[in-house]
This record gives sequence, C-alpha cells and structure tokens, in this order.
Amino acid sequence: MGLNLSWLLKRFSKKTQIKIIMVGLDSAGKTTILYRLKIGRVATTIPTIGFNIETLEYKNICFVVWDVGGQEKIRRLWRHYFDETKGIIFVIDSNDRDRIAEAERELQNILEECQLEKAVLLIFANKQDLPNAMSPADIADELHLYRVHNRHWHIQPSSAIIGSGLHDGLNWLSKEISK
Amino acid sequence: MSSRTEKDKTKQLQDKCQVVLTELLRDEDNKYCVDCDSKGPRWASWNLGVFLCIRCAGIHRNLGVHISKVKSVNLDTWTPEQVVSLQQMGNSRARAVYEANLPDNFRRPQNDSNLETFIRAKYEHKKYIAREWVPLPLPKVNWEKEIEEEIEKQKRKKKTVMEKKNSNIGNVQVPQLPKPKNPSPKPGRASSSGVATMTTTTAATTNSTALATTTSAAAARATITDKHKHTTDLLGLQNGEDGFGSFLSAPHIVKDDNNEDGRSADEIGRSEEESFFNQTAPTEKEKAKLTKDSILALYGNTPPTRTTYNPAYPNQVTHGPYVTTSTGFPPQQQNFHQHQQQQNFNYQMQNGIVQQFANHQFALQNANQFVGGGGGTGSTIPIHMQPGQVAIATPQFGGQFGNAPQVQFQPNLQFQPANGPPQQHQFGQYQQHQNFGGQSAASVVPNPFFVSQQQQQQQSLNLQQQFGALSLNSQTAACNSTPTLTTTNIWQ
Repeated sequence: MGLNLSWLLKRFSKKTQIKIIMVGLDSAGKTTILYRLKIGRVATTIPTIGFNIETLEYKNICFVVWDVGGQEKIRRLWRHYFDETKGIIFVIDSNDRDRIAEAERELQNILEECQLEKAVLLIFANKQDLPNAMSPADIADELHLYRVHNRHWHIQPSSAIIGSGLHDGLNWLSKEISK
Repeated sequence: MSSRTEKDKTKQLQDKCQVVLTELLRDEDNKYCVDCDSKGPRWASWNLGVFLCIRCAGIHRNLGVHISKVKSVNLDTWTPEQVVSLQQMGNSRARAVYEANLPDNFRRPQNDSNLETFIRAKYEHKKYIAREWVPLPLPKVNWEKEIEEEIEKQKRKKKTVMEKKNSNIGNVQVPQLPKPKNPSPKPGRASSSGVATMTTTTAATTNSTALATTTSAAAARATITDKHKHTTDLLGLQNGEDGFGSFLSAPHIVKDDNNEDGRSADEIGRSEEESFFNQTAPTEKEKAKLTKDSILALYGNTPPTRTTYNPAYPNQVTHGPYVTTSTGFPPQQQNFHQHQQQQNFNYQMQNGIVQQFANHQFALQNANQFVGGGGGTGSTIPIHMQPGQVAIATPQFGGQFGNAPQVQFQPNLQFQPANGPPQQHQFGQYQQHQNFGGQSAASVVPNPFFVSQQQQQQQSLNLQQQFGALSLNSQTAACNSTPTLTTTNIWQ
C-alpha cells in the first residue's frame, strides 16, 4: 500500500524524464521539428553534424529529445545514442519520393537494434505542406509498417513549418510511454 | 566472392566520386558558395549543380527536394550521375544561368532572412534566370562498367594495346557548358575566372583532370601527365621545335577512312603495326565492341615511347576546343553534345530512357496507384496500430503523382545524331578544309606551323572564320597565337 502511494506520488508530483531519439534521413526536418516544439516558431537551421538535444515538457512528461544528424556517413553513429531510449521519432520527408526506399532501409536497421527493442515508434510524415507530399497511408505502405507487429507504432502527418501534427504526435507518444 | 567484388566495385565507385568532387572543389569556380560568396563550400545541391556553404545548404533544404537536392560533399555518398551533374554545371555556369538578370548593383545579402529571400527568389521563383536557359536532362553515366573493366584489368594485368583502347572508351565524357568569362559580380574574382588564351591551357588541364579522374588513379595520373605534355608540346610546336610530331599526327585525321580497312598507312610507325598485329584475338564480347571508333582508336594509339601529342586521338581532339569559353552559349552547347556524347550516344539511346524509368520506378509505381487530384494536408489521416492487430491496408491515396524533376521526358534536341556522321569523320572534314592549297585529302597535310608568318596569319584568319562559323572557337586560335577574330560572348 505504502509502496503504491509513493509510486503514485512520484508519478504525479515529479516529472519523469523520458529519453527520445529523433532520427531520419538528412533534411527530413528533424531539427526544425525539435525547435518548433521547443520555441514555437520556425528556426533557421543548418544541416546537423552531430546532434541537438532539448528537453520538451508535455503533459507532465519531460521528453529529452536527441536530434541526431542524418547524413549518410553519420547515420552509423545513431546507435551510440540508443541507450535507455524509450521512444523513437522517425522523421520522413513526405515530399522526397526518390528516397523513401532509403528511409525504409534505415528504419528497418534501427528497428533491429536490440537496445530499441522496447521503444515505441512515432513516425512523422513531415513536410505535408509541400504540394507533392505523400499521404501517411502511402508512406506506411512504403515503409512496410504493416509488417511491424512487435511494437507500438503511429504515423503522424505533420508540417514543422506550419506547426501542424507535432503536438498530436507528442500526445500519442506521451500516452504510449505513460502506459 | 561475388559479394566481395560487388563491395569492391561500390567502394571504387565511391572513391571515384569523391576524387571527382574534390577535384571540382579545387576548381576556381567552386571555391566560394554560389549564393553568399563565403569561402570553401562543402555542400552541394546536385540537381542544381552548385556548391554551397553549410548555411546556404540549410536554406536550400527549406526549398524542398523538388527544387534543390542538397548533399554534403563529405558526409554523404554520391552516385556518378550526381557528380556529373555538378561537373556539368558548377558555380560559375550556375551564376550565369540563375543570376543572368541580377541587377548590377546587387549586393549579396548576409543575414539569414534576407539570404533565404534571395535564394528563394533565385531558385524557387527563378527571378533572375536566363530566359533562354533550358535545363539539361540528367546525364547518363555508367562508371560501373568502367570500374568492372578496371577490376578485370587489374586481375589480368594485361598491358596491351587493347587495354589502352578500353580505357579510352571507358573515359566518361562529360558534356560541359561553356564557362562564362566573368559570372561573378565580385570584382576580386574576375581575374580568376579567367579570360582568353591563358585560360585555354588551364581550362584544358582542368578539364582533362576531371576527365582523367574517371579512370583509375594510375590511369588518371598517366592522362594528366599526357595532357601536360600535350600543352607543352603545343608550345613547342609553335616554335617549330617538334615539327615531326605534328607532321606525323596530322595525316591521321585525314586518313581516317583509309585506315579503317586494316591496311596500315605509311605514316604509322612500324611499332604500331606490330602492336596491332600482335594483339590477342578479341573475345566475343570484345568483338561486339569493335566499332569503327574503337578500330580507329587503335590506329591512333601511339607506342608508349612516343610522347608527342597526337591529334588523331578523338578524345583529345574534341576536347580542346570546347573548354575554351568565348563562343555563344547555345550553339556551342549543341556542338558539344554532338561531339562529346557521340561515343556514349548509342548506349544512351538504347538504355537511357529505360534506365530513367528504372531509377524512378517508385514514382511511377505511385503514379499507377494514385487516384490523383486530392492530396495535401487535408486528406491525410494519422494511422496507428497496436501489436497484435490485424493490419488492413486501406489505401486512401491522396496526393498527386509527384513529377520528380529528373523524370524529364523532354526530348533532347541537342542530340541530332541518329544518323549523323561519326565523330572522326566530322572532324576529319573540318581538317580537310584546312588544306587550302588544294591538296587531296589523302596526301600529307602541311603543318600549319611551318608556313611563314604572313601565311600563318592568313591561314589563322581563315581557320578562325571557318571554325567561328562552326562555333568552334578553338585550339587553332590558341596555337597560332594570333587571335584575329573575336566571337561575341552573350554572357558578358
């Protein structure tokens, strides 16, 4: 009983820190999403060499979001950030039809990582504001998401420029993680 | 085993791409960011063909991949097509194209928001673009085949004439647009962009290096030295120091047709004959490759001891004139395509379109699936799924078929070749025109450098006129060092 009480107190009084890693191909919009969520506006970004890290408070949960650069040769560094990660945010440039297959390969690679076995997967189908953006259904298809049965996943259309969909995504993430 | 060779191949291809990119970055044209002029760009937009600093790369990424496809020179892997696209354009040409109508007193913005406005105006709204500009189709290159050949060669370690021929054929011909004389509004760089004859040699060398890097490193070195020799030889020829080399080399062009039937010409050295007849018998595959061009290339090959520049090399001959810069843009471009891509042409006609389709298979597949119309943010719905649920794909396809910019169906009008005469013949004809003395084409062509000064001037004028009409502003002008005609440059 006492244990339960303290657990409840802990849960509701102190914000838990949840480590989230945000990955995806280069120029998918990871950094823009991060700073849109952090400062509420579109920041001018440069390609991320290395990583950005920000804490985002959302519904009593403190997300520590690691945004890691997505250039091809630094993707192999991603796995060094995977430790203790509760959630993966995988960002897709919905406008980039040519590289969706590449994105699929990278996603499969990280889903095979044992460090991420229990992490939930949120996919931002970003850049929905662009005229030729693929629909989330389409992207889910291309990413073979329907074959992923061993973890919770969610694909969320978003536009970091407009600011749409980002909070919905975080909402899903917080619900899943606090389950 | 096969996977290992596959790996080797990929690695070699990567290395080659990196080498070419590094080479391109060393080029004076590409030492500054195309948009903000900051030094030492390490990023590139490969579809636009420009090198960028990291800040402008960030802004370019905001434009979306339908306008600019940004890659890091060092942190990304490249495909030959992307590299060649950069080779084709480069910062100077890109400025000539995208900043053609930039106001004279324009100052490049330096703060972020103004820079973004400028970049959007430049590439998205194409505010300053040259009106006559027609985007080039994505070049088709096949370095893989070349690399396979390289690997084969390394295995066999064969040093026959056949090998030489292969490497000649394997050279990737990069169609290049003429470089504008001074595309940069920054006055300090005017001199570096180069004018007139001095650049002729430098440009030739640069170009040859770029070209050379497409073969193996060793071969590349060989080609570079070869080209250097060629430039020095040209100077030597001018002084009449090495008359014999040109004497030897001149008739090759004229006698192309005669050489073809396999009878050796008098002018060709005995060693060449020997090397030709001592060749190993070609395999079935090689036989198939023995086109007219390759046979001619065989004849054109000099024994390794000979170091003089031999204009009978089709590559070298076609090469020189096109890197000089002062002719008008469109005609030269046209010529260039004819000449430079001639060798690859058959391949392109057969495989080009098909390959493009293959490359964009994804887009095309989608085209079949899409209902079309709709799309955009409105029709998108989040989908989520819990483990254990049965996945039912309900395709609610919105969106439109994205016309990926590479899928260009526009016919390439610059190619007129289907039944055009082969390269050497064309050039051979031009050369024949040089025989003002009325000598027959088969006879020995007089070396233009042996004539008296007066005659030389006269001849050079004639040559200039002829070549000018052909929009080949050329080597001859540089060689004779009496440029009497100047062609107008529309880019000035």
